[in-house]
Amino acid sequence: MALNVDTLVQQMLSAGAGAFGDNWARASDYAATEFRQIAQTIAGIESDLAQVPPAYTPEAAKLLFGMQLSSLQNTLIAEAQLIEIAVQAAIKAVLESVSGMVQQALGFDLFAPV
Amino acid sequence: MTVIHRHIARIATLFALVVLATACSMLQPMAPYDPEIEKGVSAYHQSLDSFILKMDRLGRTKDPAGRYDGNLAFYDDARATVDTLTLRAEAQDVTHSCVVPDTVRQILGAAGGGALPAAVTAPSSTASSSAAPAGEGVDCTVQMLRNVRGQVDTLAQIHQVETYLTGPLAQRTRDITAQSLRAILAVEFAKKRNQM
Repeated sequence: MALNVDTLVQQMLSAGAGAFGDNWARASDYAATEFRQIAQTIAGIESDLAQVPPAYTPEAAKLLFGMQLSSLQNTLIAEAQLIEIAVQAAIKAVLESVSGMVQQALGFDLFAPV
Repeated sequence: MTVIHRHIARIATLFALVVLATACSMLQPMAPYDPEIEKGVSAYHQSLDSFILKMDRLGRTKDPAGRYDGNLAFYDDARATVDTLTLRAEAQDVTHSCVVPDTVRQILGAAGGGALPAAVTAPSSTASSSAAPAGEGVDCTVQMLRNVRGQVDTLAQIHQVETYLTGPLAQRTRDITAQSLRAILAVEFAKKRNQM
């Protein structure tokens, strides 16, 4: 049975939403694009091997799949980093919004680097 | 300033300090944006993509110049390029950790042998016993570059196994390696945008 790219993408997206919890919305656009490419590659390997003769050997297919998992690792690490960066940017914005008031109250800039 | 204003200012100060303390406890230290990593990864992608396209063209006519054993120098150069970028990232590694949700490890494990390296840790609140202790891990950029380095070796293996890197095989390797490098660039661009 041929692999369905859309089904694979949906499965990966719901797994990602579960893994990253409430932070998922911060970076899910990036994940959706990358997960689609992963699904297309996996489905592509299947169709390459189904050709007569196969486009490459099963050994090469296994190596390709290993490479794909390595790229998936990078995608998920990047996803976690993008969420972390978004959280840090939000915190920075909150601190900046109160810094003027704090400076006025204390008479010096509490948030300035030491 | 009236008594009420002073009171409000004190409350605002306290609020800000609470926000600051909470913020600091939430933040994970992160290596800063590095333009050399951005440029280096982009240049490496250009070189790798150009190589695979050339191998694809040569392989279609079984030109001996496209055989694995005639292209060992490219793989040596690629390894050296990625190693140099990794060295740079390691030198800036202030965190010695790359934290991803624990469930991500499980997803990768379920994907079939794709478990994250021990250097990539789970958050401390959910750390599993298999997670590397703090101080023994590496920054996320370092880890991603190490994965890219592993892909150079795998690409060479594929080329060696198949003799020629051509047709759908060339296309798949281009897509996969580009995705890996795009992940690094996505993080660098986000750091740049947010002046980190």
